[in-house]
Amino acid sequence: MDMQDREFDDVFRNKLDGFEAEPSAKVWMGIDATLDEKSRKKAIMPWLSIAASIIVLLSAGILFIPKKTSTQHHGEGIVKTPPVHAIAQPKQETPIKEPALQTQIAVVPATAKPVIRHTKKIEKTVAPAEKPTEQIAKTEIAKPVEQPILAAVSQKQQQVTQPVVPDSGTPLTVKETANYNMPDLQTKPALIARQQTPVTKPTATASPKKRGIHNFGDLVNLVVAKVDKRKDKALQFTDDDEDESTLTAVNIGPVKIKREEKVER
Amino acid sequence: MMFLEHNYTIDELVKRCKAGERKSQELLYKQFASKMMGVCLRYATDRMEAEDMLQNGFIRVFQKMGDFRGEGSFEGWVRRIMVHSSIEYYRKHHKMMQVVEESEMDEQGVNPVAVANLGAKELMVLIQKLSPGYRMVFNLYAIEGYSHKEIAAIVGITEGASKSQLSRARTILKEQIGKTEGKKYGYAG
Repeated sequence: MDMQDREFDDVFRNKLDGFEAEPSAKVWMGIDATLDEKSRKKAIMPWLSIAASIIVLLSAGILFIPKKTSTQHHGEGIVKTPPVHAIAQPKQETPIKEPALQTQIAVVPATAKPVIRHTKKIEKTVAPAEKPTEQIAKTEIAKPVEQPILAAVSQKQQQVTQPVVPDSGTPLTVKETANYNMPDLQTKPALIARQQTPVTKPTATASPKKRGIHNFGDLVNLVVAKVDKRKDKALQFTDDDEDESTLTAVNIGPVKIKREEKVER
Repeated sequence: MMFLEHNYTIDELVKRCKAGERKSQELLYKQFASKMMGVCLRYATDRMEAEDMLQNGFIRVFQKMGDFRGEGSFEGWVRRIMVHSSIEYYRKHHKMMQVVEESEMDEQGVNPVAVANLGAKELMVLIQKLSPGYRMVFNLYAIEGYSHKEIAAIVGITEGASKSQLSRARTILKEQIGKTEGKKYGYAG
């Protein structure tokens, strides 16, 4: 009474094919948890990139939006330290709706050779980076801001300072002297003093010339180009023959200054 | 929760699951869980293993939901995923291919009535007692209806190995049935 293999298999198939058994509740719980985990991982990625963008924007904002407080402090800084490029160090908190706010950027000539050394230092750290991103720009640029050599002066219009030429022997020029009153705190030399109002929106767009990043100025140009799409950037550096960067153009709102040639230093 | 649960067609549920709706995924799970548990049990040694396979299988079902184009039945698609998930489970957890060469067993004659009298649960127990390699091939061939060629591809063995494991599996099962039969009718009388 033997059985063919086929029949044998059929018995199993017929009886087991529709076999059902209730699994325990923890199976669904496990599925649920795993699906959650996977979707959370998926969801994190976009948030990470958003966070990164915010950091980049914030740092750009800190660099280029004029700051209204800390005037006194930085003013003193100028007095004490050897004169250098002073870059406006604005803070994000600056309310854009307050147009009266003005910032002064003073580029002060060095009696010795102060800035140069400073920027070179930065150059070295920045240059090797293969892909200088905005993030790098943020950290690297942040450094000089902490240094006392770099000073930022921001004030209300009423207390606008005047660049004076007190240092003997140093050839100084005041390039732009829009509407300001006699200063009460700044007494040290300033080559260029600028009054600016906060920028709200870029008006025209122009693609900047692409070039490599060789020094601090290029780095600033890069970041500015990212933030400021106008033809005339808020800040523009150019290389001079000593391969040093010089601030050659400033364009903040109504105030536009462009240094065409290398003038006095 | 009177959420028209029973009025959802499978197609609607599938659509919602593709959109990642968790509630629909749960409904779909409930719809198929018991049936698929039945599939996984055949490939497992016990309930615990079967539940692991079921869980992995359903996770894969939901992740690959977008691949289901509506060709063939959805249940058939889910079942294939369960089978693959079960085989995958053994790939990960066991060295299933270590086929123990047992001493030659005699082809045993089995009373068809005895086999037919066995309930589904008893047959399930018999299958679960097989070593994983035999169990897998027997399941794939006898119950799922795959050819030896397909089995060879799925499991990763040669066709010859698939054939010999199938015949071994049958022999062992028959032997076991013979023993049960003996107990039932021979001694207990």
